[in-house]
Amino acid sequence: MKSIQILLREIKESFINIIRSGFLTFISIFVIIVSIFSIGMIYYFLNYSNEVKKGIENKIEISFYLNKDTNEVRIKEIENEISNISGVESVKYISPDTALDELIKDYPEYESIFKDLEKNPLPPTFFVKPESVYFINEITSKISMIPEVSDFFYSKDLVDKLLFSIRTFTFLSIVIVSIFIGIFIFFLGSNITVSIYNRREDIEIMKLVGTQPSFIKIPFYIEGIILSLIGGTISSFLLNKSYLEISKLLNIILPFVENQNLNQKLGFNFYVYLNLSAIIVSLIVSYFVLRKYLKEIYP
Amino acid sequence: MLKFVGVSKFYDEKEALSNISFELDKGDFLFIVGPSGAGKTTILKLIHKEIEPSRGEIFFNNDSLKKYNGRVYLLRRKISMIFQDYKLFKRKTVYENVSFPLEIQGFSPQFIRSRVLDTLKMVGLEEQINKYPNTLSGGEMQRVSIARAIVNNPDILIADEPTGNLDWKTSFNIVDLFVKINENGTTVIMSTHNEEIIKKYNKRILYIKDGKKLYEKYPNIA
Repeated sequence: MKSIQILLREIKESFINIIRSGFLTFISIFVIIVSIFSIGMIYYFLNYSNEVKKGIENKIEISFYLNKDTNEVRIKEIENEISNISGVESVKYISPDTALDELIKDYPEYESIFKDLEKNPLPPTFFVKPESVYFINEITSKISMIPEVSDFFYSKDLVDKLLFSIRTFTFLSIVIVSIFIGIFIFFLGSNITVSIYNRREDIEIMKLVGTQPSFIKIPFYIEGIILSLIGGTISSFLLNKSYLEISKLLNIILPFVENQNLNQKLGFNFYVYLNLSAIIVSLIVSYFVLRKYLKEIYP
Repeated sequence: MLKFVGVSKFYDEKEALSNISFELDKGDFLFIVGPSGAGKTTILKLIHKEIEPSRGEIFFNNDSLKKYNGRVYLLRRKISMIFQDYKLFKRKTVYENVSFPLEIQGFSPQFIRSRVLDTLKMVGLEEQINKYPNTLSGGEMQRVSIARAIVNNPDILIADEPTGNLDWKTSFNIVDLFVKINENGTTVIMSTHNEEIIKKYNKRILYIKDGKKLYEKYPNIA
C-alpha cells in the first residue's frame, strides 16, 4: 500500500516537473517527434528499396552455355549439380531445339533464315535464377568450374549498379538513423541534465529531510517515459499518415514496383515497438545521466 | 539515545572538532553554545550524518551511525534538522512542504492531511497552509521548517542557529515552540550564540570553543 502511495506521488511529481519545465519539455518532445519520424521514414525507404531489389531480382537470370557435344546423361547430372549449389533458387534447362523454336517464335520475320540453317548453332543452355543478387558471383564461379560449361551471361552492369545502390543506400540509412538516435539521446540527456540542475536545490533539501534516492530518481525516469510516449504517439500518427500518402504517390511514379502500404504490412505492432524502443532508449539515457549527476549530489 | 565518544573532525589539516564526548537521553534539551566557528554546526552535521567523524564514534539508540552508511535517509527520518536559512521548497505551499516527509514514506493521504493540519496548528500556521514560502515572514518560514521537521515524530530534533535571522521576540517564540516539542518527548539539540536565549531557558548547555568542549552545564533544579 505504501509503495503504491509513493509511486503515485512520484508520478504526480513527474507531471509537475514536466509542466514546470515548459519550454524545455516542448523542445524535448519536438526533438523526439523529429527523430522518431525521421527514423520511421528512413525505415520506409529501406523497405521500399528492398521491394525494388526484389522486383529486379525476380527478373535476373544467369544463362550458362554448355559445349554442344554434351550428352543427355551428363546434362541431367549438371542440372543436379547446379540445383545443389547454395543460393540457386531454380534451374531450367533449354535444349538447342527448344531454344531455336523460341527464337523463331520471338522473331517470326527471320523464320526462313533459321530454318535454312544446316546445323542448329545454339548450345544447350541452363537458365539459373539466384535467390538473391548477392549470390550471383558465387554461383557463376562454381558453375564455371564445370568442364562442360563454355560461357555464361547475365546483366552484370545492372546487377553491379543495383548492388552498389542498395549498399550505398543502406549505409547512408544506417548513418542517418544513427545520427537521429544520437540527437534523440543528446536532447533527452540534456533535458534530464538541465532538469537535475534546475532542481538541484530541491534535491539537496529532499536529501536533508530523509528522502530515499529512488524517490529522487524515479520521477526523472517517469518523465523520460512520458516525454517519449507523447513524442512517440505524435510521430506514430504522422508516420501512419505519411506512409499512406507516400505509398499512393510512389504507386503513381513507379507503378512497376510492388509497393504495399507499410501500414498494412507492419500493422499496429510496428507503432507499439517504435514507442517501446523510444521508452527503452529514454530509460537507458536517464539511467546514465542520473548515475553521473546524482552521484555528486547524493553519493 | 545519542552518544559522542572522543569525536574529532578534520577539514584537510585543520582540526574543527577535538575529542568531543557527551551523552543525551530521551527527552533531553541541549543548547550547544559557542562563538562563530567554534564547531557547533560541525557537531550537528555529524549527528545528521552530513559529514563523517575523522576520529571517534557516534551512537544513536546504541547503534553506531556507521550502520546507516548507504541508508542515511532512514536516520534522517528519526533525526530531523532545522536550518538557519529554513531550506524550504520554494515551489511548494506550506502544506506541501510540511507533508513532504510523510509523502516520501508512503502514508495514506487521509493520515497525511490529519497529521499535517495538527502540526501546522501546533506551530500556529493553520491559516497559512496554501501560501508559498516567499510570501511568509522569517519567523513564519522557520515555523514551517519546524513543522516539517516534527511532522513525522522524530526521536531527535536538531536546530542549527534557528533564530539567527530572526528578531528577539520571534526568536523567543521559536524557542518556546522547541520547549513545547521537547515536553512532548522529543529530544531537542539547538545550537546558538544568543546569550539572551541561554539565560532565559534553564536547559543543559554544552559550551564549545575552537572545536574543544570547554564545559557542560546541567539545568538548575528548582
